[in-house]
Amino acid sequence: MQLGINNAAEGTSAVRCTDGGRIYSKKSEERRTNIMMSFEAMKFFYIFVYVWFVIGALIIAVPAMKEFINTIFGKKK
Amino acid sequence: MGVGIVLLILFAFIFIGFAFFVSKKFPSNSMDDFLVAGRSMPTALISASVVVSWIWCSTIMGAAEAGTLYGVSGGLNYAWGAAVPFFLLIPMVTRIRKLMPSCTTFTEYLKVRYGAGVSYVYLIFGIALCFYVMMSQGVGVGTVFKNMFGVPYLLGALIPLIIVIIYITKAGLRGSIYNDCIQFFIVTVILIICIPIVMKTLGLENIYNGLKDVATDPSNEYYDPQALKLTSSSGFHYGIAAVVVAFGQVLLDQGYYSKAIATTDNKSMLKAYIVGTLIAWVPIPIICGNVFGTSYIALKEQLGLASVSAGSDVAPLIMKFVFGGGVGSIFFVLMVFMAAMTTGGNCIAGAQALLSVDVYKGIINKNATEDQQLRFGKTATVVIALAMALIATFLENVSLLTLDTFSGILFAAPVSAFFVGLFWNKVNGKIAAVSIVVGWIGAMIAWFTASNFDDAMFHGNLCSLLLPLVVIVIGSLFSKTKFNYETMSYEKQ
Repeated sequence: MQLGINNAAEGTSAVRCTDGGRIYSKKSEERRTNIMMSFEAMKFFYIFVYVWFVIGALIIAVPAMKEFINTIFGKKK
Repeated sequence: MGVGIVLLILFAFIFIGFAFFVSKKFPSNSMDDFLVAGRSMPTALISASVVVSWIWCSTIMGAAEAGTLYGVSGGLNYAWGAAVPFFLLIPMVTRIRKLMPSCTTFTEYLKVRYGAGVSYVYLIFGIALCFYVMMSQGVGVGTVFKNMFGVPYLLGALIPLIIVIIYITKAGLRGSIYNDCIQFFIVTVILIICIPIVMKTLGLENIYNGLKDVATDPSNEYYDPQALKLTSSSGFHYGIAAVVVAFGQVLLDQGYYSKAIATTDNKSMLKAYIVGTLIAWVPIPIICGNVFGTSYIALKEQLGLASVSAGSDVAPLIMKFVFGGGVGSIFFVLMVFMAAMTTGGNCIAGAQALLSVDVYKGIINKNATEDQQLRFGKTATVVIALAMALIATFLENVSLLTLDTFSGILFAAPVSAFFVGLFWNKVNGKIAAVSIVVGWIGAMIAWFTASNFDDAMFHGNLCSLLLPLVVIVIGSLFSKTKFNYETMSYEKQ
């Protein structure tokens, strides 16, 4: 990420920012950087993914455990 | 270091012991029984096996590295990118099972579809992929043992792979699946327990504030305005590359075909793979990317964390910070060890099938008995796997994400011809071969001429996957071939 300054009056799009070769105006750059997750959104996201994982693990683990125990310790092959 | 060595010896004892137990309790009556578990494994066991064999070292450590590079979107893009190919694998296996019900390896199908010459190319790719993946797991587990317990990287990389080689050649796919189930339970319990502890120790608010600084302060070492965006453009580019990488890793990995074929029917296979991938696996790299990766860039300065020589070191570093050298660190090492073992086991089981069926009987000795095939398969697997384990010992400090991404360049090129040829009868062997060569050369040029890693990764992988598709579509439109799929079911003796 590079930050360069044009010879232009303050308050205009004097500051140009580059990201991977693309050039944005200052206002556009502010708009981009201002689209950030809020803390509440991030908290929700983390909790959601963790609960998703736990539920998914249980959906697989319970029948797998039953089948595993039956197979290894039971008569069924 | 003593703790690490003791753990290695303990793991060796447990897993090899279990392999001997399985091979004694369920002796293989035939090659089919050994290579594809008699095509009768219950859905529940295959689901667990698929989940855990798709948890690679890079799922934990590579996703964490993606979190350091792309912020909150890193793990998410790793996850969706790696999951997409499974939704192609399912129709592919369903189709192969319909066309050639007694097919054991995907190269058997390709031999009939495109001829022996092209199938040998796929055979080379398939075997190379198996051992490439195994080698990368060695890198991951060697890194973790070194970082967590100071065990010399060489021992940490070599010994787990030797354990895998022994138990797969002893117990076959059935043993691999049962081992996978045990490891599935252990990995999920460890993640369920450790993740909340890590988050409580580091503090979500601290992570958020740190990421905000990463996103807004140009003087921050990890400055990235998109660090707190799930829809980051650079993260999305990485996601596209991850899709391509995973195409090759899934669609050319005989281990996943073997597991799919090991289910009793297509319905069971569909259930096992969809539940395993979408419901259970996808959250794991998201968690690792966000808990380990973003925590590192957010809190490195605040917590005085060490700089890392490779991004793959971030996950073990965070775990060591939170748990010290204690129980939590042991759990993390166990989890990565399990990931390496199950993935390595999946690959070796697949390689064993390819070597037994396609190399020995297909090329070397067409009149081979099943015993001869299995003996050759096991011997060749051991020799090649040991060689790859040794190569892994030379790759200390290599980034797992880089290894992972480069594998897309190498292995995605044959995918298009394989997939399209299953459904479009106008594709012939010549077109398939040309497409692979064009894709490979294009990908190499794109990779080595790119000005930075992101461009190399993105363009290289896209070329590897899409150039062959262009060649296939254009070539087949002018092709006079009309392959008759009906003949395929009569080809296998």
